[in-house]
Amino acid sequence: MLFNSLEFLIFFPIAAIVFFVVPKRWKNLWLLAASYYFYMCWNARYALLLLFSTVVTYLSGLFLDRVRESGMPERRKKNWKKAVVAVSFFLNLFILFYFKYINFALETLGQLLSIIHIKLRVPFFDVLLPVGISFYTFQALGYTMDVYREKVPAERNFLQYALFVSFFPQLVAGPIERSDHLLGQLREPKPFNYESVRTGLLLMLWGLFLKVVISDRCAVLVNTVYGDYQSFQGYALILANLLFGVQIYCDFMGYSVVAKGAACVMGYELMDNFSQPYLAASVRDFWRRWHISLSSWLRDYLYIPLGGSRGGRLKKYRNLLITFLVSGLWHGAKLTFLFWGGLHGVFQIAEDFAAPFWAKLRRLLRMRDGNAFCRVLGTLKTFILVEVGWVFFRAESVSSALWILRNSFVLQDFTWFLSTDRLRLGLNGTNLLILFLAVCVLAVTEIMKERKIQLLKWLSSRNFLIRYGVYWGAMLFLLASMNIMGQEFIYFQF
Amino acid sequence: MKNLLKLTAKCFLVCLPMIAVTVYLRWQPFNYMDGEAPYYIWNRDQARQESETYYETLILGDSVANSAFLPEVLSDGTLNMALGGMTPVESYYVLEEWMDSHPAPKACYIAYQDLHLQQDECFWPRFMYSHRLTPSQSLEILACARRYDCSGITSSAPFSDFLSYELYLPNKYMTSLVSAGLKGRRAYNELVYRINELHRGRYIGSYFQDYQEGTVPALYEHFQIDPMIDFYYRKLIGLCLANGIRVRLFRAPMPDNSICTDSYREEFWAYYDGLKEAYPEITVDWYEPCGTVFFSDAVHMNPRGALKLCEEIKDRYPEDFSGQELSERQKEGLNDYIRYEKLPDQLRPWLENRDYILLCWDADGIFPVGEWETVLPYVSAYYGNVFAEGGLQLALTDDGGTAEVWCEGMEEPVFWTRPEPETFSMMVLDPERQVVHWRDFRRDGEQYVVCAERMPE
Repeated sequence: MLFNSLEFLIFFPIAAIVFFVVPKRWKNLWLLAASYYFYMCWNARYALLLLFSTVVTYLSGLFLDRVRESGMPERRKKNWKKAVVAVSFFLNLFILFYFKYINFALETLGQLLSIIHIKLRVPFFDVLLPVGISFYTFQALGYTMDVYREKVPAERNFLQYALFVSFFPQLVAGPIERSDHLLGQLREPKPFNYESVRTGLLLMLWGLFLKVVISDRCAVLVNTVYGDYQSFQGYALILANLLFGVQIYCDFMGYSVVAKGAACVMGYELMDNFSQPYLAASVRDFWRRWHISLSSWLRDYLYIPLGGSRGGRLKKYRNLLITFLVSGLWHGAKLTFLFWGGLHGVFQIAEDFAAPFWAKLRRLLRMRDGNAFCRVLGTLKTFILVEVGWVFFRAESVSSALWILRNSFVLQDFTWFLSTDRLRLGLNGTNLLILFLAVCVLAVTEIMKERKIQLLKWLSSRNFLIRYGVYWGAMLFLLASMNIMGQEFIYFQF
Repeated sequence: MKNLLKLTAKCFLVCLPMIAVTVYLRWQPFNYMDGEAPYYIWNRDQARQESETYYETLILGDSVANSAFLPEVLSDGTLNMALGGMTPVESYYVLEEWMDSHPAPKACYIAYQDLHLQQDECFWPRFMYSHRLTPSQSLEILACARRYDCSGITSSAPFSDFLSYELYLPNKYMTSLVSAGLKGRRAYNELVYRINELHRGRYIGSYFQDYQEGTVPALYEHFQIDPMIDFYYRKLIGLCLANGIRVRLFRAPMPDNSICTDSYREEFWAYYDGLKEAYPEITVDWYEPCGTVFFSDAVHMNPRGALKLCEEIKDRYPEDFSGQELSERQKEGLNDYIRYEKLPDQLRPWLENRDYILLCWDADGIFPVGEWETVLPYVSAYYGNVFAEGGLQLALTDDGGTAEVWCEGMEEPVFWTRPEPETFSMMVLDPERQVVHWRDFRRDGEQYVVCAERMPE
């Protein structure tokens, strides 16, 4: 069930209304049933995987608590706890590996062996990737780690815990919630609150605007170009790459905002997954703003346990590279994702190396740390690097990504933008105009948010005409985009 | 409670543009729906509305059947209820609907091209789009499709697609609305509706589309039928037989350049022999291929082909078509085809055995007299060269530049100016003595091409 589908438009009001109507003690049970129904709309059998992951991490939490409360010596306790975490990780990651990576792993193994002239007949496993498996597995494993670190007590109420893992607004594409943030909220279901329902609905409208008006429109052009990239060059490739950056942002942020809005309607607060990433001053900064729930998960449960930035530069870079390779691999079982992750690791290492030189140069030019020019330059540099990364993320293979990058810089006349060649990109003038206007709206909101202006608060304080002008404007944009909508969210595949 | 009401009111206000568009989509379908929708809507109106005329013969099937039958040629009591993309699934409901508001016809002619026996690809984009079926019929089809796992119908979200179409939601109609733009499509759609009214349902290839060179000939290797479609095919035959309707199943002619393997014929007859065994009352005909001149593409007949086939059918099953006199409606339909026929020699079959007058003015004698032999029996007057007869009066002005044409039944004479040198002019008068065809032709090698339209607007 897509957020931008009629099914969700029917499902969500029913889920929310019943949630408010039923007595408090039934609320979570209802939400759990609704969440499993939501998930089973894709593939009913795969709900068993979700249940399995839930049971394993729930039991591991209980075991960890029991070990902690037992009277055994500290060293033994530690060993037991590690064993429980290892079993939980092994079982969850094994499922993730089997359903997501098995074919990729075998294929890669076969290719590696063929280099040394060993021919391996690689079997193909006909498995369908369960939607959102990477998200809920990481969320459940995060809980195991939090109980292990005694950050949260083990949840004893199975229904409550099952709801934490399967909470439908964020089940299939995040944000990957932390147990200390969401689990506590689930224990105390909230009654109907006009303000939060209103805010939630407005967030959902904004999320749909991002997805349907901007992302789906970008997708038309990007898919046209990437589907037959060899027949394009220069501006067409640059435009497609730029728009893919916009597409993936609006697609994923759109989902996260609808998820946040849907949760908000029912009185829950989900974490922010994005914080104006394209205004980041460095690649490192970009990762503090992009897919925050995943990057913070990787930081807390991988980078820091690996040693983080302790133990010298070399170790720090090693840890950084490992973290970003895992991040790449998390996105999908393809070499391009691995390359994309690795590239971001390398960018950050390069930035780290170059930092003292930049600082020296700034001092020489007598520019302060927060100098506006430096800031703009840094943002531009980061944007370009991120865009280069997106080419690998979107392309079918590393070689095609390299081809696209090479051919993006073929010199062309500016009149190309006025020529009929532009129409080959799949978007006509009206759609390009709508896209341009919508991106302008997005840019304005991003700058306002960066300046800490709370948009909803700002909007609520305006008069009727301005408020409804904005709402109806968004509605009209949505209406004008309904002929191209219906595309799946990119992050569903992860 | 107050907050709840406030919230509901605000939600309604925010959604106002969406609601307004939906209401517009619901009430003004002709303004935006694509050009084929009125053809489905006309079909729906015919099936649901009672009519004064008794229809003795109904045509059911897909575009192949629709293009192959000319009700105006067959009889006044024939109606072409075939629709593009229709499979036996939809045909069953069309007939069922017909029976609810009309007396049972005497015969049903049913034909499908192979594609529409293998899959139902038009259920969503055509039948649901144009609201041809009732919600209960659609739901019945969806339930059956689920039972038979019919991939053409069971979309990823059939229920929401069903609701979207039924409620005229913008997600299904926005493309049409945007394409229709501000100008809208009402004028065109109304014209399509009128064409359907005029030709009583025959719409596919309404006018003379010649077979295009380069058309890929159809290849028939295997005959297959989808289980759900087979289920409805039998249900349809059962419905006909239960109501005493003669069932004429037929395989419409194919262009003679089509490739049809022996195994295809064997499989075709294996299936239809099975049907005949189960329902001995039915007839199954295989019409042999004919020249590409009778087709507009690899499967659809143009009006010339349909005329030829209909006359053949009329001879074969005279009991299905009563009334030899042309009714007003038939004349109007025929006139429309004659009006659009461009080539002189191809006008002949339309006029044959009917009370039409063909007049030619070939002042320069460019049309060799020898060629007239094929046309002569149908030419009532050949001014300037041969004769005038049958109450027809032709008078040439003194300078010989204009001819006054008048015959019994005409309110006022028609003035015919001499055709340009190297051309000849042709006029057709219908049984009401109205001019229905009036064009000038020029010889271009072996062919005659139209060089001037003389019909008044």
